[in-house]
Amino acid sequence: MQKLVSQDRKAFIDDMLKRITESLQLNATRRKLVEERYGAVSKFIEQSEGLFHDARIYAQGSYRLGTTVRPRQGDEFDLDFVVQIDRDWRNVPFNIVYNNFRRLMESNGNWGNLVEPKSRCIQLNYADEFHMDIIPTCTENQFGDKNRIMVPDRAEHNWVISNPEGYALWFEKKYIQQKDIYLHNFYPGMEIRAAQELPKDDPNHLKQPLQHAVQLVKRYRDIYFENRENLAPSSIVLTTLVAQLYNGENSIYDTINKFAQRFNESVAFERQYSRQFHVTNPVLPQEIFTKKWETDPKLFRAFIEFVNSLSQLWRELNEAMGNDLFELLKKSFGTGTFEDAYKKHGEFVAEMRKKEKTGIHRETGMAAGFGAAGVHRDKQNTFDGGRWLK
Amino acid sequence: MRLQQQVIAVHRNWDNWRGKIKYRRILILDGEVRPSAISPLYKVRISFEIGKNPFVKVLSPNLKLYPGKTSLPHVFSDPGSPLCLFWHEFDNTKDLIAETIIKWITWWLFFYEIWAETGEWTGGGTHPDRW
Repeated sequence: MQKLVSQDRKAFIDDMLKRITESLQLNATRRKLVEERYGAVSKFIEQSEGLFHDARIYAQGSYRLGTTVRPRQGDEFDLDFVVQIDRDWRNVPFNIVYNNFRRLMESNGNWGNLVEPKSRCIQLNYADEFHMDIIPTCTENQFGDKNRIMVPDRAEHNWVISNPEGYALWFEKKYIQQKDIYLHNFYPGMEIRAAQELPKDDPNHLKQPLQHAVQLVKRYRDIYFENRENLAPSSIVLTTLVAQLYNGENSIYDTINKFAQRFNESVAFERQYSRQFHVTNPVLPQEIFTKKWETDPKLFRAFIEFVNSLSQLWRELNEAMGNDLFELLKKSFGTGTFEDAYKKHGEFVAEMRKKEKTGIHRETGMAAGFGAAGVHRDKQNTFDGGRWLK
Repeated sequence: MRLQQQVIAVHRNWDNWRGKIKYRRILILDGEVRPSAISPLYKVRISFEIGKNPFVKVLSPNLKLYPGKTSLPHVFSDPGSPLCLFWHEFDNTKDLIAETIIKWITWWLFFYEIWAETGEWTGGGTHPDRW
C-alpha cells in the first residue's frame, strides 16, 4: 500500500518543491547535449600531443554537485570543467600552461571559433543556452592529495590553489548516508532505487533533499535580489552554508527550514564573542568565501535579511492552503516555474490513477492510495463535456 | 434501481455524503469533499431522477477560471455548468451513484484545481484540446 502524494501535506509540498527544481535545471535533451560536447572536448584533449596528452578531465561546480539552476532571463547555464595535468607547476610558468591550452582549444575545427579567453578559464560559447568553462590546471602535489590543483590566474599573474573535486566529495559526504527520503514513500519503485548507488549524473528524481534545497535557495536568491544583484550572495556561499548546516533531514522542506534556523543560531553564537560569522571553503580552510562581509557590512545585513525572508516564507508554506499556498510558490519561485511543476504533479497523479493505484477516502472524499483502511477502490471514467445535459 | 437503494448505498459507503428523496422521484445528495490535503472543503450537490443523467453542481466555494479561459473544463453547457463526469461509464437505470459519480466528483475537483492554476486539464477525457 502506497499513499498518494497529494493526500499528505508534507509530501505534497516536497513534491512541488522537487518539481520546481526540475524546471529550473537542464532538461534531459540539454543534459545529453552537454554530455556529448563534454565527451567530444575530453576526447580531443586526451588525444592531443604535448602538455595535455593524458590529462585528467572532470566536471566541477554546480554541474558536478547536481545543483544547477537556470539563470534568470538573458543569462546562460554555466558549466565548469577541469583539465588536470601531472606537471610540476613550480617549473612551468602559469601563462605557458594557460596559453598552450588556449592554442590547443583554438586549433579545433569544430569549436575553435567559440573560444573566449577568461581570467582563469577558456570559455566555449555555444549559441544555445549554455557555455562551458574549462580550466587547465596542474596537480599541486603536496600533502598527497591528488585533488588539490594549481590554477593559472591571469588577473593574479600567478598560480592559485583550488580543490573543486575535494569540495564535491565533501558535499556528497553530507548526504550520501541518507537513504530514508520522505518522498520516496510516495513514488512506486523508489524504495528499491534508493538503496542502490546513485549515478554521477543522476536525473532529478534520484536526487537528495540537500541537492534540491541548494537549488531552491539559489533560485530564491535570484528572485529576492532581482534588480539589486550587487547585494546577492554567490552560489558557492549558499551551497557551502546549506550543506554545512545540513544534518540528515529527510525532506526538502525540513532541510531549508533547519538551514534558516541553524544559520541564525550560528550568527548569534559568533556574536556572543564579537566575531563576524564567515563561510570558508571546507577543503581549503584558509580560503574565506565571505571576506567582503567584513569590509562591507551591508552585504552581511542583506544576507541576514535574505535568510529571514526565506524563513518567513517557510513558516507560511507550512500553514497555507489552496490558493494561498499557490500564490506563495508563484511569488517565491516564479509563476511559470510553479505552473510547470503543478502540471507535472497532476500528470503524475493521473498516471497513478491509470495504473489503478488510487482510491477515495470514505470520510473526506480525498483522493488516496488504494489499499489502506477506509479507502474505496477507484473506478475509471472518461471526463466528457461541451454538450447539453438533457 | 430504486432511489431508496441509491440512498442506502451512499450512506453505507460515504461519511461525507447525505441523501434524501424529494417528491418520491428526485434524489438529492449533498456532499463535502476535500480532494487533496491542501484543498479547501467543497460543498457539492447531486440531483438525480431515474432515467436521467445526474445534475452535479459545486455549491461552494466559487469555482474560478484560469486567466484567458471562458469556460470551466468538462462541464455541460447548461446554466450552472453541471459537471460532466463520464462518457459512457454510467448507466442511469442501474448503476450506483455511490460507486461511480461520487468517486468521479473527487477527481473532477482534483484536476479542476490544477486546471485553475495552470490552464491544463491533466485528468484525461474527451476533447483533450478543448479545455
